[in-house]
Amino acid sequence: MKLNRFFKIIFLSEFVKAIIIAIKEILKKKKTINYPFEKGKISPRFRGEHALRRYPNGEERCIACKLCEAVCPAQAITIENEERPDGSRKTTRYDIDMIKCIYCGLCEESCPVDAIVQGPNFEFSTETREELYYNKEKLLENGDRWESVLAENIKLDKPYR
Amino acid sequence: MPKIIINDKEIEFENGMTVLQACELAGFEIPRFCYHERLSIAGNCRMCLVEMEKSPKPIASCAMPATDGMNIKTNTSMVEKARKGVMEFLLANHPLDCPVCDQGGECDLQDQSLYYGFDKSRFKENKREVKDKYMGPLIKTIMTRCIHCTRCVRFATEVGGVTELGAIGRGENMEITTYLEKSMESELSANVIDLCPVGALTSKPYAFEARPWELKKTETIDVMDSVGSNIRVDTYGWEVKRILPRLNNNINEEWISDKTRYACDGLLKQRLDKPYKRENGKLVESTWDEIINIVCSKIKETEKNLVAAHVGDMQSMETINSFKSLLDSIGVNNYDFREKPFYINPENKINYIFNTSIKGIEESDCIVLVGSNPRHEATMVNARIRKNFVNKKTSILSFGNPGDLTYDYTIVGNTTEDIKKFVNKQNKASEIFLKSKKPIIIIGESALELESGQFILESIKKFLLDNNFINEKWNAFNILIQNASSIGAIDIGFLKISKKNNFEFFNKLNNHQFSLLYLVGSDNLDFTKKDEFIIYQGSHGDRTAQIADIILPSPAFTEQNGLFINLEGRLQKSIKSTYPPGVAKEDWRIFNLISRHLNNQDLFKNFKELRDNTLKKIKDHSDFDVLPKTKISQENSEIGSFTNESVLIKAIDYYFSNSIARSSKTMSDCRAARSKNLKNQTGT
Amino acid sequence: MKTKLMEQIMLKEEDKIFKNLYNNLGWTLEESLKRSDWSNTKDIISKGREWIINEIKTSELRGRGGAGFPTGVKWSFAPKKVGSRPHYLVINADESEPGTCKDRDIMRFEPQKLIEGCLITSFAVNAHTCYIYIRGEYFNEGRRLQKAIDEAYEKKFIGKNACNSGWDLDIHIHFGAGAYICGEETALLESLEGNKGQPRLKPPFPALVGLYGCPTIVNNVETIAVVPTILRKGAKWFASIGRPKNTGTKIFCISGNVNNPCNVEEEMGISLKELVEKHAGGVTGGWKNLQAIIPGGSSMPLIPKETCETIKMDFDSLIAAKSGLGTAGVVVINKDQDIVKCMARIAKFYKHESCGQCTPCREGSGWMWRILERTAKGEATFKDIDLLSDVTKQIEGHTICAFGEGSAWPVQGLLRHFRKEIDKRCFSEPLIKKKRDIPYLVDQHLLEK
Repeated sequence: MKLNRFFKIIFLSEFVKAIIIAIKEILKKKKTINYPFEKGKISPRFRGEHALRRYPNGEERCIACKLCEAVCPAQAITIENEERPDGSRKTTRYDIDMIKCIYCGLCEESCPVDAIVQGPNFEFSTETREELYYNKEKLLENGDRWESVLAENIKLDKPYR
Repeated sequence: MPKIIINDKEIEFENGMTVLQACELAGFEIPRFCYHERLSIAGNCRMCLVEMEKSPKPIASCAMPATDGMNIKTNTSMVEKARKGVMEFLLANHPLDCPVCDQGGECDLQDQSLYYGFDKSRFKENKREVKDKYMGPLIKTIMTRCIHCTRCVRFATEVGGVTELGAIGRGENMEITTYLEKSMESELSANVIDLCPVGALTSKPYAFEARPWELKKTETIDVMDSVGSNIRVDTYGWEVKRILPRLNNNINEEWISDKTRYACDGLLKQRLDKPYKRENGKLVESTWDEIINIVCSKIKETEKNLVAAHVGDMQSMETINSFKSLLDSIGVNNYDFREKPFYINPENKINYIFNTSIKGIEESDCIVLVGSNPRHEATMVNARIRKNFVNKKTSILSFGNPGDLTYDYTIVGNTTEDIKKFVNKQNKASEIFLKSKKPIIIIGESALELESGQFILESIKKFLLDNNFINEKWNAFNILIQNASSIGAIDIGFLKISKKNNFEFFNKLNNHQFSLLYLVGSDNLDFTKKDEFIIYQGSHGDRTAQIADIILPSPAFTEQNGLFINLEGRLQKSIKSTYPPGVAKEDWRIFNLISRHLNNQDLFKNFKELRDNTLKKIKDHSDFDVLPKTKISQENSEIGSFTNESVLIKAIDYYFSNSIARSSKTMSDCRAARSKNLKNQTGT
Repeated sequence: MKTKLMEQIMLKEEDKIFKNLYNNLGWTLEESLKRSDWSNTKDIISKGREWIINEIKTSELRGRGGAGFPTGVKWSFAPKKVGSRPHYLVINADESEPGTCKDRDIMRFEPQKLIEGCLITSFAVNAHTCYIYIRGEYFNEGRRLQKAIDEAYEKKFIGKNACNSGWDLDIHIHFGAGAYICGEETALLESLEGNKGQPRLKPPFPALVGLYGCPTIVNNVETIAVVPTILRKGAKWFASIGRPKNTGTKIFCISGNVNNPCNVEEEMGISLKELVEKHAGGVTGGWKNLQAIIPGGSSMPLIPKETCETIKMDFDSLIAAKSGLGTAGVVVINKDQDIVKCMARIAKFYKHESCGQCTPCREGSGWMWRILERTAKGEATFKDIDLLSDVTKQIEGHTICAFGEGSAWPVQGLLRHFRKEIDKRCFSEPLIKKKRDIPYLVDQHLLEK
């Protein structure tokens, strides 16, 4: 045992091994990314910032069924609704408290019309708390901004639903 | 007792039960859509199929009478298969719009499809679409969702007494409709919403308002009329979103009137949330401190016999009791609870309650209405009379013409002379009456308002006593009081009458002998202001608030705890389900404030003390939710003078009968729809 | 030579009950009197109720309306004594079953037999009022019957003290509005009362709670019309014709792909092949060209050619072949016809005639029709056929009245005997698989391919 250790010290075998690993890694592709300028790949199922989607004709999808509100384990969603003059059921208020939210994705799963979705955006830090109380306008704006990605993600995920 | 075997469990059942009821008795739940305990059996949904020994086919348990020695199985694969099949058929043409359906979360079809439904639809054809029908301002129809259980049709014909609902078309094209697309002319119409097992008939005012799971439910009672229907108040935050009936076989079974159900949106409008005082003819906002100061100084400076007090139609017994304590402490003795001068004999409890009890109506074999329109005065009582009429074809007689009561009746006469003849056994009506075994007489407020009101009440009572229709077993003498607070007020003694003069308060009031009026929720008081100073304490900015000089905001009936005695003398608790708006204070706290200011002491330390004190004052009180133990005494009341006059039944503006209903948009819609119907009737 | 041979095999002329089935002898009262109608009605009635019911029981007469319930037993269900409520006799002349037209000829050509039967039956079940519910389409037949009734009234055969027997009887005709479902006895009663024609729940059976809540006996026209002859000639005579439990003669209505469609009165238990070959002039294109036969009106399952060779036309042997005698409306389908299309048409009839009261039949009949229609066009998938079979089983036995079975059985018959035929057509792939984007709420078979 002692002999073994002696040889290791004499021939610097550990040291050599380390150098070999280092050289191997230099030749491999880089694992880190230069974050603010580069971003890693995200799964289509990534649960990031919420968004409310619209139909292609501009009509908001949400029908105020309140299933997301009911299913939300953190009770972060608040919905109020009424009958619109055309008789359709739409929300008058759709708030998500992003501080309460635990990003579990149940709201997205429960939505019967794919209205509330969790998009790929994870960079929505703010300076004040108040900015994290999302209201309907903010969520719809998110939806409009991310629509192409959201639609693609939903399409990719469809066979598994 | 005959016996039946259900899933190898032998149980005894009563004769006349159906297999479904027997299964329920044995503790086996049977899914159903069309079956309802209080309606006739249709047996058309086929969901309740069970297996019966020796029968090759499954049987519809709701329609099959249970017989001795039957062997029923409810959990075999055959039953399971049958139910799944039926469920698939029901869902085949049922739209998949649960997310936007108001029934979602409390839908029978949704619940049962969880157990018996497939996860995917095999029905690949086009789904049927049905045009929506107009059923009035209360019922929203989405007829595509209809599963044709015909509960609504049966309810309308059997309980409601209107044949305006029915099915037309055959097979797939069968549709439930009102035929002429007009609103249902029934005070019970909205019950079809509760009956509908799916979302085909939903509540129009409640459309898309809230989901059942997010509402706070409070079980309380209704004060729109004196029946005291048991209700459940559903609130979302501060708002009362809807009111639903609660089962109580003694009072309202499981129906409630449209007014009870839909006046609730009046609780959100026209509310008094701050104290007001009148300055230069205009009401200006004030604070409690200031307003109590004004009230107290006004009371102090007025001579006590010029002060008068009145309580309105929806005040709890606690309010009345604490108010009376306040008045007693300052020495005021002009007070009353009646809104119009009708005769009352408060000597004995049987003189002013509905002695037969609402459930007792069902046993009766002859019903006499004296100057009463139960349909508008107490809708649930009318529903019971109709139930009796439908089951037994009881003969119903009336003095005065009450109009359409949803059942057939004979008008004996339109004058008090006819009543006199009746009690003197001089006409045919008394013959019929005396022949019957369990007759009842219902005297309405309209009759007691007549000049010979005293004569009508006392002579009829004497007539009944003489013929032994008032005894321990059967009491045929009934007064139909209209307001929820009335019986409680009489029990507490909130009226000043003497043997000679029943209407002291009204005489003085109408002669403008009072200079200070303290009105608690009295919006229906029949009176014109001259130069009285009016303090109004109440919840709504209604009729009296407009003429008041001081306004003290207080909660409505859903916003404070209280006791109410219904027309049959049943004591019930009303539970606080939401909180009052603004700085409104509970009535007894306001009286406490005044008392503290005037006498330097609280009337009651806390609410419990007030309640205990109130309970002590109830006459013949035994317990909550039971009939009072009345004593029958042969006291000799004066029969009173007789005047020959016509018995006019005063029409009630049904949908506008109190301050909450008057503030309600739904009620005014109903009123408009009803008057439109009336116009169309005369037009054609 | 040939005709002689046929006569030997066929029912003997003297054993025929409806001698005027082809109106050779005239339908009027005088002419029917010659055929010994009303000849000794009084004597029959004077023998008493018990005797009549027993005689019918021993004759083993079974109801001719479709279900084949023993008539004598049915009559004995009526309360023996008239209680507080009167009894009624209702004659079901709402003959709407496709492929059946026997009652029509009885009412046209032998009305007096029916009227006499009404009198005897009314006496047997204690009824003073008899209603004849005729389908609205039989307007002329109804008028003819009314004329016959008027004649009978004139001769005092019915009315007060009918035939001097001391029994009062009034006969009223009521025209239906043409709904198939009103041929179901309880729906018929509802319709007669003026309500929407929808079947009632059983129990209680009409024999105890029927028309206006009173005990009511509902019988088919043919059943009632044969009663006088049975009583006149004796139950033994009637029982000697046909086979045990399936006695007597029966009018068969042969239609479809035959050379000579006709109504013919024959012995029960006659072989189907004989019936078609001898009376109807054979199948169009010869017996070899036969595809299938519906033996008992459209609501009975069809039987394929192999079974047709040997089957005997009576209640029990047809039930053994998983079909039924029904109303004995024999519909012959030869190989020129598309059997699936035929069944699709029948399914459409049932979809149209479903009353809509109970769920399985209301929703199921339309569903079956749609699938069959698709199958007929060759647009169905294998899965659809299994589904169709499931749907028929989900309807069968789960409905209020027998209409549910009536709509499911023909389809079941088709699936049982022609499964291969159908499978051959199911080459189409479901469109939903081909085009992913089509929302599933769209009728797949309506989409353009």
